[in-house]
Amino acid sequence: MGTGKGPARVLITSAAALACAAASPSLPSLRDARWLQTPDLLADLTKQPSECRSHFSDQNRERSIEIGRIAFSDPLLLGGQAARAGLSCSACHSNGRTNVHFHFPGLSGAPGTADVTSSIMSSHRGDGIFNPKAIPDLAGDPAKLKVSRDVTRADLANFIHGLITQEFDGAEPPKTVLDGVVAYVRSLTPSSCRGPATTPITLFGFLDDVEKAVLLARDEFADGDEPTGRVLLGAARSTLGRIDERFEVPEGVDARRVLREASDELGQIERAETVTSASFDDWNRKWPGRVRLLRLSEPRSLFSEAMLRRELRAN
Amino acid sequence: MEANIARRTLLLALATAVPASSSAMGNSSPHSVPSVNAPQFDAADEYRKGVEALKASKFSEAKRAFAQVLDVSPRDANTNFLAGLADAGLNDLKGAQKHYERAVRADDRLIPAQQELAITYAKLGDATKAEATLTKLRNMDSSCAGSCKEAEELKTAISAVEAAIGQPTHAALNTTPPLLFESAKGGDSAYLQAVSLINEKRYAEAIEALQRARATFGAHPDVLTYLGFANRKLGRYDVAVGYYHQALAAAPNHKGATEYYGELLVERGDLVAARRMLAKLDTICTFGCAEAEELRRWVQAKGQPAS
Repeated sequence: MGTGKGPARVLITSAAALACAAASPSLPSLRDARWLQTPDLLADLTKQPSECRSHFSDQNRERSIEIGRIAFSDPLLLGGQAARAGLSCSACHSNGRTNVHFHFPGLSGAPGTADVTSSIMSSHRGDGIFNPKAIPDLAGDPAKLKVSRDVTRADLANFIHGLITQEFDGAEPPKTVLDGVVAYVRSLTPSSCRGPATTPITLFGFLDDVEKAVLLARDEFADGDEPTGRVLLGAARSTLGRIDERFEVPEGVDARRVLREASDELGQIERAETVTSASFDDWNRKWPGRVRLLRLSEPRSLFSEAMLRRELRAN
Repeated sequence: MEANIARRTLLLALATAVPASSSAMGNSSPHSVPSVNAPQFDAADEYRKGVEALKASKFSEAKRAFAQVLDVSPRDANTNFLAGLADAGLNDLKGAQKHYERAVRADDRLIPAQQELAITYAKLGDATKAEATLTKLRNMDSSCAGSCKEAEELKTAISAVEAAIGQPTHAALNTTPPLLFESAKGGDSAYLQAVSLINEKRYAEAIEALQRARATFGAHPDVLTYLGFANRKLGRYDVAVGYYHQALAAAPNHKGATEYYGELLVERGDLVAARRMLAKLDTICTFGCAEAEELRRWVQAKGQPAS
């Protein structure tokens, strides 16, 4: 709720501040911090499980996977309650893996569990039984996965479609987006899990996601797939919002201004009746300068472990 | 560094919980620029402060907090009732009477307010009004016939009022909020239950649960928005509009209230006004939001979208 700093989070801050007066430090303004019950919030906000994604020489397949990966982190894909709570697929499946500290009131039992048949999230699948299950690692042992990823079968596509439109009451996704999410999930395999168990969460990674989403959007518009183009622009704006949250510190004023301008411009493109490749020219021209400013500001943002520690102490 | 986020986020869940069936509510950006008309305080926060102050017998503090809430939600029954308790604690019986009268005018089923109003009338020497209020309580008790969930509460209220009318000078004025008003956990639970009930399209039951949540959280924009939503789904458009207005009075940039009000306008065929709501959401949601996208779909479909 936007009534200034006080009432900004409706039931979040109002009642929570009273009910949880003795609660330990937290950063509820960070989407990435909201749905966690964790012994080490700092670690959860600075590191994520490494992605175990296969890569392919087929450029079309790679492109589809990339569209899916971007949509996977976009709350708007899920729609309904989840979108309003800022939940995307990656909230439960961080980097396509699991999230052992995920916790959503009324939906989770122990951290890392979720009841996918709860009426809190779904108008279709509520069964009236509180039965949260462990969130699976999508790059885990294939023998333990409940849905076949066989490319000759539609099981995975049907499952993900049902998850979006029924489990989370989202709108019908564009076919290219649904295909992309299916391709992305199929690309996650244990054999691709090489290197360290975790990777740092960085501004660079977020900026890269924004840039890729905008480039893919431009191409989709050029190909005449406007619904997919709009989904990708929405995802880019959502990621800009995630970055903005990390600059919500006194030192972040300039960075936040730049982020808002960038998002406003994408919003104008998104809402325009006609979008062509030229619609992106101005945005693309400004983007490198914006990236420079943001990268320069990164040490004074909540991407910095030291800054995060400071904020956690202050809260 | 220990971080028990769960407790803190419970209420975020409430803030954003939505009727997924046909879009949802939710709070606007925590970082949005306040409207020039926005209150410079958090009504729900003030309400909780008031309840806490009442519990601690800090009546002046409670009175101040409830006065703030009433500035944005003057007809809220619960807040008026609690403001009356604060007045009573300050021995301001006329002030208490005024607030109790407003409380029962807004919700004549608010039994504790009826009880305290009758006792206050008795204390002020207005036996006629005290008897009239007692009659209301007795009528409610007759209708209930011992089988409604308020049966025990009604019996207690009637006994207390009868005693006060019998010995007005000895009648004790209550200054402690009933348990329902105190329990944040109970409010949380009622709110989550309401969300589930709405998704199950059990709107009348959801309204009951929301009223329980409202006792805990006061004129909270999320609760008011859901009350608007549930009433709208029951076809009570004017009641729904009233709740949306109250929610937007408490939080002018509330995304859920703006979206739902916009949907109601679409349902009523007022696309011009609905587009204004959508334009407002596009302004509020700097980085995009589900509320704007859902209302956009409603406006484009000129009704509830197919999927």
